[in-house]
Amino acid sequence: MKRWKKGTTVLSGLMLSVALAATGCGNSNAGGDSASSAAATPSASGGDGQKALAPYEVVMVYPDGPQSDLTSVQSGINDYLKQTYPEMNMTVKLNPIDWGAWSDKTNLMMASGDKFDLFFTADWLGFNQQVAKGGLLPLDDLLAKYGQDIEAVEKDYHDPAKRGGKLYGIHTHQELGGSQGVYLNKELADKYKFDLSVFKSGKVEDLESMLATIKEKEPGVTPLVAPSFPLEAYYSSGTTDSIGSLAALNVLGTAPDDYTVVNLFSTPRYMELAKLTRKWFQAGYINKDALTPGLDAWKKFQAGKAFALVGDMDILADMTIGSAAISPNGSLKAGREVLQIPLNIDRLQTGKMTATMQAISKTSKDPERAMMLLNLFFKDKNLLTLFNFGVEGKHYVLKDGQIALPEGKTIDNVGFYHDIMWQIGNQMLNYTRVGEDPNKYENYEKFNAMVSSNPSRMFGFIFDPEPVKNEIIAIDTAQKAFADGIKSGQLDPEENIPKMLEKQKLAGADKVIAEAQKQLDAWRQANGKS
Amino acid sequence: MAAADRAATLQARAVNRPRSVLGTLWKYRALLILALPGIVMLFINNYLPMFGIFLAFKDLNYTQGIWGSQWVGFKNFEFLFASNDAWKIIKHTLLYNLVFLVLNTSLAVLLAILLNEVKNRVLSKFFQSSVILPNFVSMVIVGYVVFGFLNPELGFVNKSILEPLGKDPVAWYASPEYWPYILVIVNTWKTVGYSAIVYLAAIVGIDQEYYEAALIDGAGKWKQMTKITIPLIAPVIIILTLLAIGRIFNADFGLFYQATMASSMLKETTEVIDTYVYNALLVTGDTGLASSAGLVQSVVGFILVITVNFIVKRISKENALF
Amino acid sequence: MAIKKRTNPFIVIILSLLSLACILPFWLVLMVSLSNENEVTLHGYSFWPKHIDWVAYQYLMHDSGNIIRAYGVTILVTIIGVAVSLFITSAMAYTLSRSDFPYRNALGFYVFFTMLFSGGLLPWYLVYTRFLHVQDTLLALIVPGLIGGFNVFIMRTFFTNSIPPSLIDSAQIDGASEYRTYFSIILPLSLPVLATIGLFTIVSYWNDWFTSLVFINKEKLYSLQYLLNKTLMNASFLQSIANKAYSSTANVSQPLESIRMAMAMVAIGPLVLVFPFLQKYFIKGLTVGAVKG
Repeated sequence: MKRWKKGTTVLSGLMLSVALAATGCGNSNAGGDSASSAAATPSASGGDGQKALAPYEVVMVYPDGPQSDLTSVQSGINDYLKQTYPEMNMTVKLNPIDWGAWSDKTNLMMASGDKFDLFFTADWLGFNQQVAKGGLLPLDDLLAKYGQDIEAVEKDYHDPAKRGGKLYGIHTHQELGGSQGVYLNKELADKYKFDLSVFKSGKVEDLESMLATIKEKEPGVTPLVAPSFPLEAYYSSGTTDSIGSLAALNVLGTAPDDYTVVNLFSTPRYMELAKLTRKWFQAGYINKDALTPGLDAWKKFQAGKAFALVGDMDILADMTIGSAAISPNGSLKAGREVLQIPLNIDRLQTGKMTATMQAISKTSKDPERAMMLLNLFFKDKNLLTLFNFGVEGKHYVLKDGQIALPEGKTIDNVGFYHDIMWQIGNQMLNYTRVGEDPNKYENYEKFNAMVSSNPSRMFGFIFDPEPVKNEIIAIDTAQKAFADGIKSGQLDPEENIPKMLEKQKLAGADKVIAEAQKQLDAWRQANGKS
Repeated sequence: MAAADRAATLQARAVNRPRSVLGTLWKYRALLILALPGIVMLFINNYLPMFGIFLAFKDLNYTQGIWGSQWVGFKNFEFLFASNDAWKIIKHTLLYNLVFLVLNTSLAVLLAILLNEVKNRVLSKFFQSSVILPNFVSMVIVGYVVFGFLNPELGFVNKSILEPLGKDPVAWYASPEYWPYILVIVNTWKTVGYSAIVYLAAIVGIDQEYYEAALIDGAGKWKQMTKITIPLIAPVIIILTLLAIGRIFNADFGLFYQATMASSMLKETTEVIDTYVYNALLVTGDTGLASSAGLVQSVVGFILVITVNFIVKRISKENALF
Repeated sequence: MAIKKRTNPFIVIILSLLSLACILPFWLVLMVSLSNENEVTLHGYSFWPKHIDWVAYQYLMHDSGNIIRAYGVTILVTIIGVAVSLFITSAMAYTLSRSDFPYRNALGFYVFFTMLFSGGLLPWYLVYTRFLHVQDTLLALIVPGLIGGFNVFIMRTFFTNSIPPSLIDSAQIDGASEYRTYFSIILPLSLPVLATIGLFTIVSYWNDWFTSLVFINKEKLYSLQYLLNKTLMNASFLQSIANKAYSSTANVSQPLESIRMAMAMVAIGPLVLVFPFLQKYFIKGLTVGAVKG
């Protein structure tokens, strides 16, 4: 035993020294980074654009599937940058990472101090953790200096991406929210001459009589295909302003200056919709396998065995509540004509502004150049086109001002095809693809006007979950089975909602709500919203 | 003066010792050289990264690096016990693993003995190949196969068994009470063949003379099995059991996550430590939580194995791990 | 010699049923891969689809260049990995199996410790990328799988139990060195366990996709399982985020179920063929008795 111990000491000593060597390495790297960026700052600002910048390669890391022609697009971008912006003297290295590998890989890259510059991030991709762990650079100064074109369109929307008063992400300029409503199989809606004007009320309840008709007259057709339930986006956007975990403001029927934080699952509307879902489930309107992960509701449409679906709408020219129109995207997915009827339009919400952002990595050797490049994506249509559609003639051709595949090419063999316009820049500058509404982006602008005219009462407030992290984990564990069972109609809400609330309480719901209230009150005070 | 004498001898031994250590090292240099590639590989692949264990006690900050980051004591461990269901989750993990261990071992030994009884070459190859097939498929695919059987609307069980019998269909993915059995069946199906092959290799290695002698003594199959086969493969059974005990706090994530299709309504009976931690990561995005959970699992496994190994050593020195 | 050659029919029946239970799900996977998607949506999985539809395999053929190259990578990695791994593992296990080796327990503990404790992904990644610099090379796919405590202990147990110490003693009295003993006595006598561990190692190299995920950025070096897996991972990830990232991002269609299953068939097909080759080492007669006689 004794000999043993000696062995372990030697061993751990060895480990330690090697480990120290390894970190020493990491540390000096980090030190080098900050030193060089510090060195870069004065030269760039001192020269004020007059002095020639040293060549620099901006590494862009973003999630995307592999593109076989990536290098030719990259050199296309580099040729273009060299011709058009020689004074910036920069090249771009595209470093896409597979979606499935994104979390693992980016975590490793950040933690190990790999050098990269522009970085796609979002609240649902760990933005908060990346800021908390010091992986991202604050952007305020850089933005002021090099981000004129960003400011032109995004100036009012920076608050949500601020942490500790500093800005860490630049929101892609695109739609500012979404819309939820119902999709209907047009053929069936026409066959039974359903009166769609009832939806002007914006209530999903009005679907009920139609579901009953379909159930009765169309055996084999699922009246309402899930996994999209009224109790998801439709409920939360229509009824609440979400803060974090189960904390939310109830905005349905409360005064605009009501800032009482409540439990998301305790509103009267939640109970109402839960009972409705339960009724529909028991009547056989909703498919029983709805909770299966990976289930694609559109496949039932494709097979002609579905009538309605509750979900996110396409943004079309007319987005007023209850206006029925053919949904191009839905029809594409269903392989047949599908109507969409918006029942709710999002308010301008903090969360949506952090859903698609570009950030600059702490390991960037020249953050200024990264910001210059990012700014170009907000102003230069040619650059955006290269990034989004590839090289003209090779990866796309223009047909009546829209993007089309070159003759004889398909999506699979063209070598460069992706739909990631929403990841960077000013999306409104982009071309549309053949088949899309040529006015897509005008529709977006119109829709944005609607959304931004109706901001959430706490737009700009960011909840910091850190003080109640463990409670949030516990609550999530405790409520999940109930929440899923209730939203799919498999559990009786009158019995199970009280049970769930009890479980949440035990897991620390009150503490989370109190913490949210405290932070919200502090924010109101600081922002003069009393 | 006896005491002084003893001190002198002790001293002498202490002086002598290094030389004798070098001596033994030299004497066994060939064996050491044979073990060396393995020692080096384990050092690189496993021991070098072990400084990561400290991360469990730190709040990792990318800028400050692994060593510069702040020590936070046991803060990263708190989430493990934050849930009111913590004990239930631990209980699930232990119970499932125990049942798996007992069932797997006994069925695998039995299967290996049966496989060994097949004298026909072709049949033997066929049986051996087919029982290890399930091990080649990933849990994701297993999940889909299970779904093929249990799909509430279209699955074989509801449509082809319960319906013709005139029984009500079961909402399998919303009925946690059935899942302990389902998971045991799936796990057995997937792993038994594999372990059976290890036991088969052991049985094949048994000297035929034993059986011939037994036949002469008139021992039947049952006697041969209990008196020859099982005692002779006992060391393999012991080793595999010891190694399984070390992982008794670690659940097979694939099984509990993929085979249940991650259905949250089943958590009442299927939540185990690994799925709980995974969920905590999803909720908070804090990857540091995984290292503290992993450390707890390792320490528990370590203590258990040391204990059991100690007992095994008492009984038979040969069969202990170390 | 007088052992009867006929197998008990009862055993044959039991094993046939078990085999059926193991093969049927495979059959199901194969059949779904050949099914028409609409039929799957409407009627669920079927053991005997009404129409055979090759669309999933045609879809995979499309990417056949990449798949073939990935096969190449996986086969190469598996062959080298298994050969080196068997040597390292058995050599270490042999040392551990020698009861006269004085550091036996310490070495046993050294191996065992690695089976329980690990430093986690990040330090492991740092060792391979910052210290060994093997990212984006085949070495990164081979080295991590070379040794595992589990296999070492199984082999050690086999060596201690099926090779009598007297055999080693007599060999060494005859003047055989340790190396010779190991290579020309131990290894030939241990073919069943080498075949078993070999099989385990083949399966783990073959099915490994995570190492590719972590260390490989060049598409040319993707292993087969990673290449196939990532399609599924991408789709499931995109679906899991669909409602977080808003309508314009949510344009994800899940790969057809038949494609999923076809991928599984493509990935495990060759593995199914490997085992019958290894089986010849399971044949009796290569045991101690034979040597003694």
